[in-house]
Amino acid sequence: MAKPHDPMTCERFDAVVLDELYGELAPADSAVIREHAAECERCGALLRGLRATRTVAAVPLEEPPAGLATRVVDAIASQRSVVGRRARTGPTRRGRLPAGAVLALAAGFVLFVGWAGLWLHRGQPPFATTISREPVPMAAVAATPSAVPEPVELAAAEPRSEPSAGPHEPETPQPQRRAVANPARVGSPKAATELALADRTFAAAPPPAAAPAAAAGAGVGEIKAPAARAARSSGPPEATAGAEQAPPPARGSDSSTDLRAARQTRDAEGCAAALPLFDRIAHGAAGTPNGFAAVFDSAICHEAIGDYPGARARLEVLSRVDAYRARARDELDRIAGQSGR
Amino acid sequence: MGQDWSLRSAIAHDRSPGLRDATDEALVDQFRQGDREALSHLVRRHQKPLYNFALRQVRNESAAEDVVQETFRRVVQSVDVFGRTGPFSAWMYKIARNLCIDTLRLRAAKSHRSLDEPEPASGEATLLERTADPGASVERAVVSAEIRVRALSALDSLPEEQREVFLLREMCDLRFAEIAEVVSASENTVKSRMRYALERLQAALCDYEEYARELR
Repeated sequence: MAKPHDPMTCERFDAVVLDELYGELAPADSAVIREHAAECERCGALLRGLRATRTVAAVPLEEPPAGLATRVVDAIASQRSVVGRRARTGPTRRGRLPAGAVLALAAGFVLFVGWAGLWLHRGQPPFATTISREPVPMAAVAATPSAVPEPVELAAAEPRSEPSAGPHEPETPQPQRRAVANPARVGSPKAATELALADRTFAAAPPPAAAPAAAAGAGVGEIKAPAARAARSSGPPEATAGAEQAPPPARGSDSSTDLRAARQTRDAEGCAAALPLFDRIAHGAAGTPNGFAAVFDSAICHEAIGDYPGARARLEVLSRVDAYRARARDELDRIAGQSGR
Repeated sequence: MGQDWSLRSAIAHDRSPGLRDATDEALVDQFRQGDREALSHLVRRHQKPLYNFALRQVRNESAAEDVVQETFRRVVQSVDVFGRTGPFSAWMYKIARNLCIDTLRLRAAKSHRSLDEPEPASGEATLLERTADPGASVERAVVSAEIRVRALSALDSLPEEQREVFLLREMCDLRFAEIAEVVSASENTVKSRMRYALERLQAALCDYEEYARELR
């Protein structure tokens, strides 16, 4: 910023010419700049040229499509009316998830962390019956065991299989992130946009108010078994049913088919519906390419619904897997940017 | 729509003209306290520059509309965490910018028409053609339309980081410090990008510089 009492130089003029151009200088500073521009041919020409360019390049604003504001409001209203009905069932504020839903999210997160803990603690997936052909850097994953809590409850509740040299999992293509393949949605003028935003945004059902709550109650290093039990018992049955009633697919089952189905569910019904499916595949096909793909898709879905802690926990695991390291770190950076808003 | 939700009627009938003079931050506060008309004012106040910012970024009208809608949805979702670390508009445009980036990233995997490529079958005019407004008549109108087309073309040819800074300053009227917040860069970096953008535009539009000076 120019100091009114200092002599103006061309170098200092250059430093503040944009502030002058856009009226961001204090009147006294602006007067000094204009005085210099009037006396200095070079700086005067610069300022005049920039002003002329602004005039020429000023593209008039287009009117938004008719009814845009109404559509925006409708979209928000339909979302908030659902939230409002939920909110009336509990003491939470309007716009926040009720406690039950928060606990259900926390319970889901606990299940995942418990699964990951089993995996890391034993150096192998808890239900491994085949050997993955993908070079899995298990040592790297296990290098940070402190990041994962003891899987007390899962270890007690679920059987543990020893690894065997079973048939190899068929090679599956790497996950195509957000490559929403839903031909029914392609072809309309709106389709490209829907495809562009559907995965991350429009499919997101719950408001992100749950995310801070989940973060507070479900931190990776803070989850204890009693809390997990409490979360499970307090959560709505429909939210925990997927994790407790449906057993994880056997290792030999066709996880590729399950993964395709989960992705189709995500594309058609949104992330909220697909999350239990992804997590189940991640659980049942742990250590395989499909298992990792499911963890990654689950992370993206958690991010999409605003559950950044859930997304972060999964991505941190994947960031220790060679095939996913770069993508996981990219997403972690994105989440850091989003949650830093 | 929820029975207690009256935003649409708030839009149709401006029942609180006093809100028009309220700052964005005051409207956010009022919305937090349950005043839904405050949100409708925010939507109406920002929809036009926000739509234009998105349109110039994603270069697709439908996508731009979706960005606007999603931006406000996220604003409402996250209104409780809006921390007053900066002005509301900077926060809102940061959300919009990220959505534009998402849209462009995902589109990159598909093959989309470019801005000036006509739809093969529809015969519809290109965006540039549609935005060129010849106006009534006479030379000035013709020149204005010509300038507009050239300006849009020059704008679209700017590097992404320069274009977004230019749009945020010119179309959205954010101050440089606010733009720095939106694009997560220093204010000096933002000014540097703006300077480069203006110099590129100047080079592309130098034929009209004298004309512009006459207009001023």
